Amino acid sequence: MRSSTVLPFILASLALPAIAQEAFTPETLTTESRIAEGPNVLVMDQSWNGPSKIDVLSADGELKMKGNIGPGTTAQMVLSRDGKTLYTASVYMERFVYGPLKAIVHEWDVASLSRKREFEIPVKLAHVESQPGLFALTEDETYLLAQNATPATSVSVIDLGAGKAIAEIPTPGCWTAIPAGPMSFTTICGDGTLARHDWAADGSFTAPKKSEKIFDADADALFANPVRAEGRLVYLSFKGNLYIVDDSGEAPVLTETLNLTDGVLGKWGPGGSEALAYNPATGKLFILMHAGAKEGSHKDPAREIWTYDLAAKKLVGRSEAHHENTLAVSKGEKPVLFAASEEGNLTRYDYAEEAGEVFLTKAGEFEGLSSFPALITTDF
Amino acid sequence: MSRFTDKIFTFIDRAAEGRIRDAARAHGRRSFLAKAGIAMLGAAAATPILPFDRRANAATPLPEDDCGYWKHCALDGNLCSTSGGSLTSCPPGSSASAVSWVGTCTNPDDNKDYLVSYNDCCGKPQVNSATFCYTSKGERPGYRMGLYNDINWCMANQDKGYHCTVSVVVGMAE
Repeated sequence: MRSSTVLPFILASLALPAIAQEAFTPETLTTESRIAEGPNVLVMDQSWNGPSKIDVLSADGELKMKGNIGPGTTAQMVLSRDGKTLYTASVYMERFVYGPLKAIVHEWDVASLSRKREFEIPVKLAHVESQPGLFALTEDETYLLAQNATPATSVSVIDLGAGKAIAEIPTPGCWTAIPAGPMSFTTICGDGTLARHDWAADGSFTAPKKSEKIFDADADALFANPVRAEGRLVYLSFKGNLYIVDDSGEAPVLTETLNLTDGVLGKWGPGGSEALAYNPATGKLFILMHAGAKEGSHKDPAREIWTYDLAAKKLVGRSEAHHENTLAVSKGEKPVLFAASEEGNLTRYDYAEEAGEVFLTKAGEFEGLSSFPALITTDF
Repeated sequence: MSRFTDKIFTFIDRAAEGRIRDAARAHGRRSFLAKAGIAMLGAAAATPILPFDRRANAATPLPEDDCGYWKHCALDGNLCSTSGGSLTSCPPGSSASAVSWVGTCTNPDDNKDYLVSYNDCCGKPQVNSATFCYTSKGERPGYRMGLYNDINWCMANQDKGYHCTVSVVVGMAE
């Protein structure tokens, strides 16, 4: 640069501070008090070392990040019916990866993403991938049910009013606790039965009422987490069968089995951590499916999402998926689906129905959202 | 979806998917999934042309650090052999889990089934560069706890932080 060109720059830079000082208005540091209005999707990004996080995003096509909630290690979550309160259960090791441990239930205010309450629960809480059947809220929202594993299995009944566990119900050989009434739950067992457990407000409980053998865990195992449809439990099997169970009586009863893949070429089978979702307003089941299913492929990522009309007992749609292994659907009359892949992408799908056929269309994506997107839920 | 598309998928699944997944796992599941679309297209194009020599394939055993290695048939976790340990040893300073899950895996050398104990190694953080495997042959949900691989098997240890997983052959399956 020639000196004749440099001189004006030097002069200009000397003059700048005076000009800037006159125009400068200091910025003010604030903290957002609430997330933006509108429906939300909550994605559990579970950690096995250190804190987990639950990302809260707008449920529209933008999938805009609204903020997060921070429970501890191997967190579980469940949302209240009105979507205003999120409950989590997680563990805290005193030295992050070793040392004395505490298991904590947190109550979070979704609107402000802030802590409302926390209390300790028994340290037997299972350190396990997030699943809806491992931490559930009873219908009247009086109790939380938390799965324990040492590896012996049991369920902690947590009285939300008292802010403490009131019972530890042994469930040997069984897994999950699906609320089945104000003070009862259904669990699935490795001997092919389902069992109903009841407790009382004082923490006492009765012996389980077991079903007849319903499934064969060797020949056609069931995914442990069912959906509840029209009051009945719908379980999905590794080979693509649906097991409909009535758990409203003394003991669970198998009422019907249905097959998803009859007449479909390609050895399709369900796969994923949460491969099944149900929208009550339309009566439709949604299932993550992959081709070439075989023993051991039950967690493979999806190539398609299938839509099954439960009332008509009919497959009514096959739509392209994007390698997801966790699925959720909204509750309202116009379903919106959300699915997450192992690589941490969240995909949103719009639902359309034409001449009895359902079409799910990708309408939004958040790439690289999570490290381990284990569970998704919506507040609408 | 058309029958033609179904046939294409079936063909790819039978002939190519196993090889794609095995190869991809060596690079970690996430990189596999990011590239899966391209890989599947490549497989669809290449498989009908190239012969599939089973003898040649069998003669090239997979290395122990590959998720397709036979002892890892039901392993969900980080390989200890890429975390400072080995196939059968926990890395220094960690502790072996007191309890474990079990897989039944076929040794391609003698075509016999062996029981493999998958012990977690505990009390340390995970190694970021470790090979992560996600295989589930014979795996079952928590109602068959001894076959379940989505849970932290450090749960019964004093130090419960999950570090990595080893594959130890403990017997022959019946």
